[in-house]
Amino acid sequence: MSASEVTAARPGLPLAGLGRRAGWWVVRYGPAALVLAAFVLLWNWYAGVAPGEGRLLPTPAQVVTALGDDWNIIQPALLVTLGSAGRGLAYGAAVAAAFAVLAVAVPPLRRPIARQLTIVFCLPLAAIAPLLFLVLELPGPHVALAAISVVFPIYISLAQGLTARHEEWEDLRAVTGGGRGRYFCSVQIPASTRELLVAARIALPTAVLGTTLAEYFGGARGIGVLMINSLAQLNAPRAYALGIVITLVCALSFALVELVARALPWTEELTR
Amino acid sequence: MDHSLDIAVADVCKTFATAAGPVEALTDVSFTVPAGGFVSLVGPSGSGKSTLLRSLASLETPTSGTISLGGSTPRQRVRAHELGMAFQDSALLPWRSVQRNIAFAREMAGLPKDKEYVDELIELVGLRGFEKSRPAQLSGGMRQRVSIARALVTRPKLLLLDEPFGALDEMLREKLNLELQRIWMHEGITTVMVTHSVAEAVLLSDAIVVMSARPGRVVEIVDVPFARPRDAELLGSDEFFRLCARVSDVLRSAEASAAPGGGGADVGV
Amino acid sequence: MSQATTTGAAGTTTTGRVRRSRAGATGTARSQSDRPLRLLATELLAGIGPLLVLMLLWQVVYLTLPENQFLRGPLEAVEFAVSGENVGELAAALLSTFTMLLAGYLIAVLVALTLASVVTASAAMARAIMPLAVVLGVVPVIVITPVVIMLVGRGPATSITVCVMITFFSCFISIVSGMRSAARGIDDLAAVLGGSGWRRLVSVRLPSSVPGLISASKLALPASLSGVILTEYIATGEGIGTFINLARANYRYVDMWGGIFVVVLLSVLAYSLLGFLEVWLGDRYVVRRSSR
Repeated sequence: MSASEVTAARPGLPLAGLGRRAGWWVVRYGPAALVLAAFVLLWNWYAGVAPGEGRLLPTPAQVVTALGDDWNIIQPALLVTLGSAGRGLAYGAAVAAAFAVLAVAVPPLRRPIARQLTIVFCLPLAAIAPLLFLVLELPGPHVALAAISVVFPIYISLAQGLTARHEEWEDLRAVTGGGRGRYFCSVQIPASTRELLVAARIALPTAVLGTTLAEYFGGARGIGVLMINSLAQLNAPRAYALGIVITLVCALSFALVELVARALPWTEELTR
Repeated sequence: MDHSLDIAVADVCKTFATAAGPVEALTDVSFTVPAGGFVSLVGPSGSGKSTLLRSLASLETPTSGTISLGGSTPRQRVRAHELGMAFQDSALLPWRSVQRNIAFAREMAGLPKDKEYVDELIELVGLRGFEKSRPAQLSGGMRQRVSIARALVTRPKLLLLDEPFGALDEMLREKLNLELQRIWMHEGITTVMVTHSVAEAVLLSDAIVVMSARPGRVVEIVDVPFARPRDAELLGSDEFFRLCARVSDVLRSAEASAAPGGGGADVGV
Repeated sequence: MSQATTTGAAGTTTTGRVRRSRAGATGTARSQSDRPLRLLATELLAGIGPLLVLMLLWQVVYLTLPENQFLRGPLEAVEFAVSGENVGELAAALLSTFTMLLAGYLIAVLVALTLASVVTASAAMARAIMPLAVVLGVVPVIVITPVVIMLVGRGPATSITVCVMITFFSCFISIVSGMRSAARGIDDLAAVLGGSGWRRLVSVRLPSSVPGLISASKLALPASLSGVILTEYIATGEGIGTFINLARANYRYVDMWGGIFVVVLLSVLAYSLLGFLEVWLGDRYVVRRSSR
């Protein structure tokens, strides 16, 4: 067969490097920016023509104004909510950790425990919330719902991290004659940092949401209570402002865990 | 063979836009393949050999230059359902049996069902008895056989193989190489194969297009003179080894002359 | 009950399953999908068993705690659910809630499938739509409910909309990643063969999205049900959410415990059913990377 050989080296195409690069940015992020802008404009337009003179849908500007004006009301409520959520998170994490230790100590119990906690995950929280208000004193229900909602995700991550097999390291332990307890503390626990961070990333916002949900069903103070009151008073700008605050709190907790993960370089794969 | 396509690649350049600015994947690539020929593309990663193959398949469009497949553009050949392709990841549909995975290519091409030919190909690639098996029940080598049968089932006039055996171990790869040669000689289809393995390229090809990285260009085209059918005996011969060494030398010098920070040497003999 | 929980749990359970099936012989996976009834029974038992344990604990707590005017035992709750005097009311409330849930799911899945088909067919559409979907998907479930109440009002449409909003985002993301991940090579092959966009959608992308869709539906179930119940409680005045709260307000504590018991039971059953579909279809539809 004949194969012609042509290897003439020609300088690269004449490129206006910067212009090309800007073009890439436009192609890559242009459509998203357009759609997001269109979304805000559409919201702004519809808020103007929607019935109810802004009681149902405020303009983005009204929401931002409400956020600024009502901050002195929102901030203490937020602190109350975060307090309850924090306590709930602590209780939930303690319960989850206890189960995880049990799972590590008694392997046959792993599946039953996971199944049992899956049921807890299955519970429609809004259905059991009223029950908590009968049984517990305020702010007990707010704390309890946060705790209930974090047990399952924390347990799953912890159990996965603490029961993961690292066969090469285990062989190394056996060969060097190291103790099992020591292996657990110096290999197994550090090796599960990644799972711990996954647990934190899920559990932090979940706890806040659990508390807020409970506050919808009753309470004296808190961001959820404020939301229900705003709904009742048809104070839409404040309701939307509260929605943004809750969303931002969740997003911030994500970012916080991400920062911690960055500080621990061996957990790089976390960014999923 | 008259039902195969000859290939003429002339002055093909391909530039990709990325966040870090444009990247030249291919620079002035030219070569020809006669109808019924077997050509391999080898080169370090970043040499654009996959981009070149994808351009032949019209999955990429060259920034400049022309590709002629039997006098038509790749896109025209694709519209006429005249190309067949197989990948390193066998890319089978997990919910379909072997038989239906092979038939998938005819469905996609909008060709009428041809059960006899599907069965013939199953026989040809040595999968008789596994017609009803699902991909999950097959070994990696068997999946690649399905993938090759699927590439052939539309009776293509050009076969494009993107590292078809790249994920297999050495022994299995050698076995499938010899089987691929048998199938190729039986069907007489012009074939272009991208590979990392110099031995595989030397064993199968009429000519090897050696490429260098950053920018991707053709360094040399090495003719492979061995008579066919080539067999396991050839694999152990001195002449085979010498030709492999020569191709490896060309590769190495291509890498040395490439821009600093060039790709890793992931080419095995 | 946020999407955060949903996706996180999705990740953990999926990897768990993959690990298990890799560890075990392929034979077990095959026999599972070949005997669907047996698999269904296993999944249902795995749901009901822990529920019985929960009821046992409930009974123990009921017996050990001192007399409490609010507390009712599991036997009373079950008895009410079977033959209580307000059982007709309970059935109507449940029917209403689960109709909303089902309608919401169907709409969410249809919209998600359509939009995912568009997004996977065109890179430009993906760049335009995905970021907005991700941004809106971050909005927590409990924020969605008040917003929908304000926008849609206080009718049945509100419950359905809440359910759609909660289910849609997780389903959409899963469907898109299923359609994309399943078979990049397949898609290239289809293009080389000159296959039309429609054929590629029907034969490749839609089937590839099945496992992700089922998993996402399963994991979104508690949140969606919770969202519907919350909406009923705050806004619509119908369904099981209202039933439970009216029972509480009117001191009909047996009704309340019975209602909660039944809704949890149904939630567990639906979850187990979707779990069964997940395993059964997963064996068929999950793409396994070629082994080396």
